[in-house]
Amino acid sequence: MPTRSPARLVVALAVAGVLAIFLLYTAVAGHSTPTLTPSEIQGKSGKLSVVGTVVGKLRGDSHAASGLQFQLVDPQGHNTKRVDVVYRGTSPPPLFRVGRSVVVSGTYAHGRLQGSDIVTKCPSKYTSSPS
Amino acid sequence: MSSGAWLHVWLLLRRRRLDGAEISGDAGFAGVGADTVIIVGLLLAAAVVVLVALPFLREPVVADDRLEAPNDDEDRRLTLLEERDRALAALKELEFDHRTGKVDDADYRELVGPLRQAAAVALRALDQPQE
Amino acid sequence: MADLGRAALVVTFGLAVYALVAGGIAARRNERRLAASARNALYCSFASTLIAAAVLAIALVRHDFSFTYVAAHTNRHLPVAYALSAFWGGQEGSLLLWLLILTGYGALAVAINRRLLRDLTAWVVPVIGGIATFFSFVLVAVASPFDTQTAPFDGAGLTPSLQNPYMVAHPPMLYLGYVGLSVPFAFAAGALLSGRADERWIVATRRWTLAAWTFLGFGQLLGAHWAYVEVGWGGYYAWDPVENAALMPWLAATAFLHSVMVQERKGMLKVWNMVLVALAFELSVFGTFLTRSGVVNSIHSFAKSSIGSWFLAFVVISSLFSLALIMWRLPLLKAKTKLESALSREAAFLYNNLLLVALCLTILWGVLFPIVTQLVKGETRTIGRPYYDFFLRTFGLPLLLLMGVGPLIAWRKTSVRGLTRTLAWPTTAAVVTGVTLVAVGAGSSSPGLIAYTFSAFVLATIVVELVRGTRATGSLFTLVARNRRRYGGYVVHAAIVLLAIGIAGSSAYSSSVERRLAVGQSMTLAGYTLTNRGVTVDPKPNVTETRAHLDVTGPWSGTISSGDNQYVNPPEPSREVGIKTDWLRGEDLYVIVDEAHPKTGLIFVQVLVKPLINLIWVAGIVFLFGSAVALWPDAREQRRLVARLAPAASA
Repeated sequence: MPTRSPARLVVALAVAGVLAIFLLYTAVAGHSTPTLTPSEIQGKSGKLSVVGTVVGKLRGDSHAASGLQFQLVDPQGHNTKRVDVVYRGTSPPPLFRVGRSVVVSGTYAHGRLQGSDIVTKCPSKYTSSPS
Repeated sequence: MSSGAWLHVWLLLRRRRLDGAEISGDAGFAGVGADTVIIVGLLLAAAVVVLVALPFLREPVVADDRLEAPNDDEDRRLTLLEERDRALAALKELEFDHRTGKVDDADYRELVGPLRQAAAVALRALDQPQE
Repeated sequence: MADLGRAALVVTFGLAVYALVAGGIAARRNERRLAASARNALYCSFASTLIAAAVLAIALVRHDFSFTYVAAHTNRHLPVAYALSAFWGGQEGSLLLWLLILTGYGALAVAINRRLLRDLTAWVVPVIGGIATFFSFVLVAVASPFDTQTAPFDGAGLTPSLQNPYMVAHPPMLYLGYVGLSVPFAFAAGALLSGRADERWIVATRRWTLAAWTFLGFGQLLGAHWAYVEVGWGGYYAWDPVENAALMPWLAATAFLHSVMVQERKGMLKVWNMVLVALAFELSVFGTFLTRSGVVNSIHSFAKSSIGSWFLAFVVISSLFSLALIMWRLPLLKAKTKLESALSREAAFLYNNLLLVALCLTILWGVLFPIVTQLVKGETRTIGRPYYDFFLRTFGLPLLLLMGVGPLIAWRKTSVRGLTRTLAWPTTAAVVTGVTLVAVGAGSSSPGLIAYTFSAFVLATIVVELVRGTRATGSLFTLVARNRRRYGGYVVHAAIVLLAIGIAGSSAYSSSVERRLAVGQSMTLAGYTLTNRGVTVDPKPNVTETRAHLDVTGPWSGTISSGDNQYVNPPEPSREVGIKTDWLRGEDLYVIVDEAHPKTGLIFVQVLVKPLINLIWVAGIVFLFGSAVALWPDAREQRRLVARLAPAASA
């Protein structure tokens, strides 16, 4: 007479199965990209995202071959390190402008970020009222 | 505690009133004068105090202040009733599923026995006088 | 007037503390009058919060810019309805809304149950009081909606893309859901604190949980629809942390709704249900923490706010409290029956729970990942869409299948033979659908094909259930009326199936293309031909509308326009997309003109065709209907409950 019901075993196996799927996927597929500020980006390369505030003149057009060019600085404004960005693709979201905080995703190499995606924030709704 | 809260509210309103008068002017709010607001506020605070103290005001001296008189008989009876209802509901559900064809005859024969037994036990336990 | 609001919140805080302390003492020492007093304090806390809310609402409607909050979120031009909706547009106001709903729900739940479940309700009061203490404290000391300033002439205004009926309804609906989950949590905690081993807390909160879950689900659909029509990137869900913040508690609540059925009937899973309800509650507060704290990069939050630490502390403390409570009462929570067969309704619910909780925790991991990597590696790494899409498919598709199989399995156990018999028709329907779909070309996406086939399977099982039931009872109406929970549940399942079909169609089978079009140039996509007819600029009092107009021929013929609006007050742009819904073919033609040059008429346009996407919105309506059926008060059930408790109530 089995001391444990086989039903419990099936359920336990199902739990183990789900856990295994999760661990396998995260181990094999990865799919996480570094999200860095301009001051943290030195020495890095490859696919990553940069969080920062848009500064400098916006030059060019995202649809053109030379892309839309601008620079990013640390969102907190602590560091003066700037990152050159060349963004190509559909026009940036309507809220994109100088002074806005954005996240630009792309490939970073030779001191320049080739951006392929921009995410802008809604102007902060959920911060405390400025004191 | 209740009188402390009342005092606190009164002091709060008194102190703030001076600030409020400077900032928004004594034109008041929604056409209502600042004084009226204070009176309304104090009345409401008093009402709160009364309501919270109400159980003690209604029965200053009471013989039995117990919230839940321990009534094991009542509790047991309720538990038995719930078990009876649960057993009967399970039986009813099985009958319905059998009638609609979800549970076939062989499965029905196998499942109905224990359910009928459980229902009978529950009914018998209810009829029996308390131990 | 801000003074009155401030004072009212201070009063709420005092009453919440009293409800917590006095209520706890009264419940512990079994004192009737003190318990009644604590209850009254809870009722009064709703009244004083209502006063504070009224003050803010009136200030918003009257454009009283001496309130810092009003100036920050409205302006003179704003129509009344949107000015009022700014109540929940910012941090302080939304916290006030949370507190209002919490005290309201708490007062109502306690008032309804105070006679039937005296000892349980006596403990519910301090638990709700504790939660209210936290929120009222934050509102009084950390983030007050009643800060005042020298009134500027005009306020900052509301972002135009938020001036939308969906955005007016979305937050309050979500909050009714989030806060609603605190009622079953409080009753569960109350049951443990009062040493009860029975299921009465589940029966008492059944409708609360279902209502909260419905609000939370529908609220998310409202948000998704707004994102689709207003934000305009062609999608409706971006796996953004703030979106996930609502999804996670909803998934946990879905699991909970199912597993309590097992506990009610079989007395099993008692510990699991306690853990689940605490998880749902903690996730809803945690979701608020995510949205407000700026801890995770999200489209909604960005700047770090001090309020985050307070929320984190509350989540940690309440989680530890729940855990300690469950462990203390573990002996009480022994299961009455065991799981007998891996092929039983109980087991089916367990698999359902496993998949739902797995999906929930997977999403949680994805949301927390940046924080974890920052702490562990010193580098923030973000998880992208593919991760979420993979797990949605891996856990969601089996879940979809289970929705069809589960209702056909009997309690205790079902023989393989019996199951094969009942599954015959639905399986045939699914196979036929699958083959037909492959023939029309749906084989291009395997997950999409699987989703469609499973959906056909589930719909067939629901139809079979309804047909069989009607045959047995005589009329469909009688059938549903006598078994509201069951058949309401089936309708909700049907809604989820529609949702699955809509999601599969619009993601697996959508097409999209980007082009640069001069005036007169055309492009084609999925049978549609679009020709650029030029760009117009239309200046209006508060907005300049730039639109590109495209002539469309194909399955539908007409003109579609898209472009952007530039507002004057506040000076913000918003993208305006063009959507043409073809109900007959069940697809949307979605046009985004992201760059339009009025002088030359040159445009850059992205065109998408999204099949079956409108099923998602239809699913929302069906979802509401199904929940309504399940929630509908049942006179017979009420009479039975009253008869059961009648002699007790008179004692």
